[in-house]
Amino acid sequence: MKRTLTGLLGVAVWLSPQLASASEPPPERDHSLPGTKRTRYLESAPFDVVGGGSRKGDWAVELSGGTPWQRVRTQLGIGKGLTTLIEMDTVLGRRFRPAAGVGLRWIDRPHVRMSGELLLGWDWQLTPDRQRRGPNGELRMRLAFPVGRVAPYLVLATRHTLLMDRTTLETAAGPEVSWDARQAWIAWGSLGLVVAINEHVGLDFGIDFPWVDPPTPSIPGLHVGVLFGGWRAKR
Amino acid sequence: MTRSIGLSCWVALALGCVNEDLRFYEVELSGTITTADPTLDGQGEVHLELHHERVGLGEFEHPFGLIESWTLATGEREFTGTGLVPTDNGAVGLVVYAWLDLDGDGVLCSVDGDRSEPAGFVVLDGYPAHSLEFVLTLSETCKGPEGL
Repeated sequence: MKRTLTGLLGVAVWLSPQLASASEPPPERDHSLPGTKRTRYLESAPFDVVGGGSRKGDWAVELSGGTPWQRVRTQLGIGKGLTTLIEMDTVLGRRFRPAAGVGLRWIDRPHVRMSGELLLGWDWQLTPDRQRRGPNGELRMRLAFPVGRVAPYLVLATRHTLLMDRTTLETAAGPEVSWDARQAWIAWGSLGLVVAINEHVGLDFGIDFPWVDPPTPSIPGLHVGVLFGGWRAKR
Repeated sequence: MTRSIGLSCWVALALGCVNEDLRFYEVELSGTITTADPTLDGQGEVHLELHHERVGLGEFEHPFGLIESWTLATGEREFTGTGLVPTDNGAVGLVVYAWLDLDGDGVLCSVDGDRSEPAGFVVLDGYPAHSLEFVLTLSETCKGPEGL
């Protein structure tokens, strides 16, 4: 317990100068500068994906495969720390969730990036033993620590789907139809590491902790992803 | 043309928002329960159950499938109630099963209880109909639905 508190205190002390200057406007990236070995990859496309958010005009794509989840994600920075997002994820081709949304960088420091994302989409699963479909919303937080070529990251998310059920009662007076609404919840956590091969391409290795329909625990998953992207030629 | 219609149907199905689609058939039940032994009139609670007559498909088909159950007051032999019969599970027919709880323990012929509790069932031949009447005589001793 004492060791845990000491560790948390250490993280807080380390983060405090980063957080204190978080309100500063994000610097524009100048891709014409080669940068140093330490700074060259800080604004690379792979780090933009896991850290959340791209600079204005920058884009990035994630192709992630694993078990049981797979994902395709595209993002495009539109300025002021905002990024548009389009995603499609699936569970072994049995459940699909296309979504679109927006991300915002909250903490934007060279070695600490934190962002929030809001996604709206549709969840559907049409397997014979289970059918579910309905509008879906997700809130997601990303935290990444880019250092050199690598960036360990953490993702926490809460995903909610509105499911409508129909009950038809055949009475002597005729059929009566009633509707009921219920919610399906998926809590999500991911821990991973991104390795930037260059400014455009990187590899992602992660462990996923989805918690599908709590309180029943879910089996953790693994994923490997290819992250790539680019930017406008001239600002 | 057929392909485009099929594709449209698939998209509509996929993007539709109906999840559980439950269908029930409402049945108003009324009936009289009697015992083969007239000395048992007015004694004990009658536990009454509405079952499907047969449930399941192929090798998995079996008689009886509980839908709803009721307990009548002590001595009461007249029953009225409403049953909601699922119609989307492939089951067929309706049966009313009942037994008389002589010792009041809520268990049919428990090891330490009365071992002479009578039971019986009747097939509701009029189903499907929204109003069904029955007369049920409890004539078998210590038989659950699976033993009748």
